Amino acid sequence: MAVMKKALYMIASGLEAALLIGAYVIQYFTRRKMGMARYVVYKNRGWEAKYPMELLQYAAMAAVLILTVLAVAGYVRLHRKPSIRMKGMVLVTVFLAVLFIGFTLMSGTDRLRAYYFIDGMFAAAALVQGIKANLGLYAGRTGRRSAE
Amino acid sequence: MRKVNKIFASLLAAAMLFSVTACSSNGTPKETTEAGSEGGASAVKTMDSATLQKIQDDKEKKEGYLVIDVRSEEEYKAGHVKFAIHMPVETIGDNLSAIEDWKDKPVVLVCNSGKKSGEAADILVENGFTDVTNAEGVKDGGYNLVTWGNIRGTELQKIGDEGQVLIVDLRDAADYEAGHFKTAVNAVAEEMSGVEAQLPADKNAMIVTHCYSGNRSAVAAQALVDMGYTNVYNCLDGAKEVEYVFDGTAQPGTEAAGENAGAEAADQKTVFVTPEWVKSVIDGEQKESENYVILECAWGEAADDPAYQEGHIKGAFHMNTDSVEEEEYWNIRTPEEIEALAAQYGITKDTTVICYGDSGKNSADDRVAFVFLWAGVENVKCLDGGFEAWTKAGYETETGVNEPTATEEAFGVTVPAHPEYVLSIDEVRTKLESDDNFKLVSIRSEAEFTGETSGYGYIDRAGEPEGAIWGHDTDDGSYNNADGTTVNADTLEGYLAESDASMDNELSFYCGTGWRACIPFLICYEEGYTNVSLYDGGWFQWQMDSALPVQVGDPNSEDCVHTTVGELSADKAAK
Repeated sequence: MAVMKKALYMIASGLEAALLIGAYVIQYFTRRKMGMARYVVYKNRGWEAKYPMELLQYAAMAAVLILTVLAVAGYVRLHRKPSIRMKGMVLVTVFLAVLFIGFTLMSGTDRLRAYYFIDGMFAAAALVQGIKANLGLYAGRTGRRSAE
Repeated sequence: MRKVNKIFASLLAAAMLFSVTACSSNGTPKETTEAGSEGGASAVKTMDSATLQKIQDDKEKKEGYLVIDVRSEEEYKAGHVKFAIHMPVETIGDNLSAIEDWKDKPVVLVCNSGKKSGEAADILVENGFTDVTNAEGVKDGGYNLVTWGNIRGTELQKIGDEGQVLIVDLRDAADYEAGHFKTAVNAVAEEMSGVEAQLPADKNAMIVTHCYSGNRSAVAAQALVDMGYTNVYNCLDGAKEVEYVFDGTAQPGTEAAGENAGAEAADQKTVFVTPEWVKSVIDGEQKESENYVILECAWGEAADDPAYQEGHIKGAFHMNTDSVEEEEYWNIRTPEEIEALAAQYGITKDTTVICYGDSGKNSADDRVAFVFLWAGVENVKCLDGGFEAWTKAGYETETGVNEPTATEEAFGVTVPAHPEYVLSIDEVRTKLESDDNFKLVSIRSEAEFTGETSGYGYIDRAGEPEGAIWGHDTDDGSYNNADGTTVNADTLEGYLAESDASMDNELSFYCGTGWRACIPFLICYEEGYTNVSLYDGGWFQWQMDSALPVQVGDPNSEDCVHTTVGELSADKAAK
């Protein structure tokens, strides 16, 4: 069970890293390759026509915010002697939440062509981190109660 | 008495000792001395073989010495000091004018033993040469001898003008392309096998090598000797030292070139101009010099454009093509936006706008040029062959980003001054349906035209507007001559004839989003055709409307499918 938890933790962390790196790569090539830039614009227009992008963004922000608040609350209330790992996890959760929400509110397709791509990747990374943090915090607390 | 005898004997011994040392032979190695010559006038210095060899092996030091081998021709050809020219002692007096430029510079003479070179040294000193050295003889010294000869620049120029001898030019390809002797072939010193096919079959035929300073050409000369050639000469005076006249045209950037410079004036309607003309504008030699801008046209910001960053024409501003195109259809921006853009770059209708891309095939500059023509700029040019042509011509470039100075002066005409240059999608549809004389000409690849691919990663459907004819692609060089310059309307006429069309038809060119199609438009504009236009929306805009008619395949074949956009598969985006 512990091994599985660890594996899931590693996979989740790897996924987050890949999403953040992917966001950078997309932005890099969107600036440097006309074909990529025009593809991104084409996708932007398609998504805007097909989906309620703003609504989806607000929903994602709300989900990330809830997960982050839960994580911070769990850290404060449930863990009297938090480990360094626990502290780190909460910090990263807050950081990714701020990154995603800040980026969503302060940027746009007029500033960054790859806005939706980057925003989606930031959202995914923040959500994965939020879920991971909450599972770690609450599962950790539950584990200790069982031991007691 | 015995004391006097002792004194006398001592004096005699001292005198003998002095005479022995004073008469020592030239074969004894010596360092270069400031005064005292073993065989001639007092101003001649000496030098041992080790010192001279060291000088010859140093690429920079050897530039500071003229070494003359004064032996017979047979002896010279059998092997001589590396960069020594041949001037037999018997002829030195008659050939002083040939080395006049070395009168106040170090001249080193060498023979077999120092005797003939001593005589030659005396002749030079008597004729005013101020820095003459007699070097250790070839037979006595440990020189690394070579069998290829050396000549000077005047001889190379003569050989080049006569055009009878193969010259191997070891300069960079760009400099070679900019100008070379008529019998010259370009080669890389370390890859002489690459020009083996162009070398004479007769191994005794004369071959001359030259480069910038005589070093690469020396390597090539040795390579030729290794290949069995017996009559090889290296030119010591490279292109950096001598302003050669290649085929009657001097090297660009030289004083001699100035005599031949002065590009002709270009007609206002002329679009495609030479690097020489652009240079003459920059140099203030054209009427356009009073009011012009040079635009390096490419997609993306200047900071992200490696071509601009690596080097651009002096004074050129970077023009991001996104500045002239909107994002929905990649069509030309609104007149207000284009007018504002022009003002930002200091452009009015009277400004000569010179556009260039990285090569002759790149249509970014043609796109920008078309937009400014459409807007109303009266004199728009495209550097024919692009930046490639500029660098081939040997003209200077600069790095750094130039920022344009905006103008507050009015553009001078309502934008667009030539709305007739552009057809909208609706106008094209109407003309295709009702005007038999109208031809919609696709300037796309054959694979795009026949519907194999859309040609773009962001266009899912492939095909062409119903009724379009094929005018060939510009990206594959179909609109370029072998030297990278742009073809004329005759070539276009040939392409049109393939579809039973001609320059008598009303022609509207299109491509994917409007870049490539600008090239044939500009060709026609330059040659005075007024029955031409650009369908700006291209295939990109056409395939957005599912109701529009399309053709997939060669319209001249029975396999051509005639359908609508909505029926097309959406998996034809370019990978």
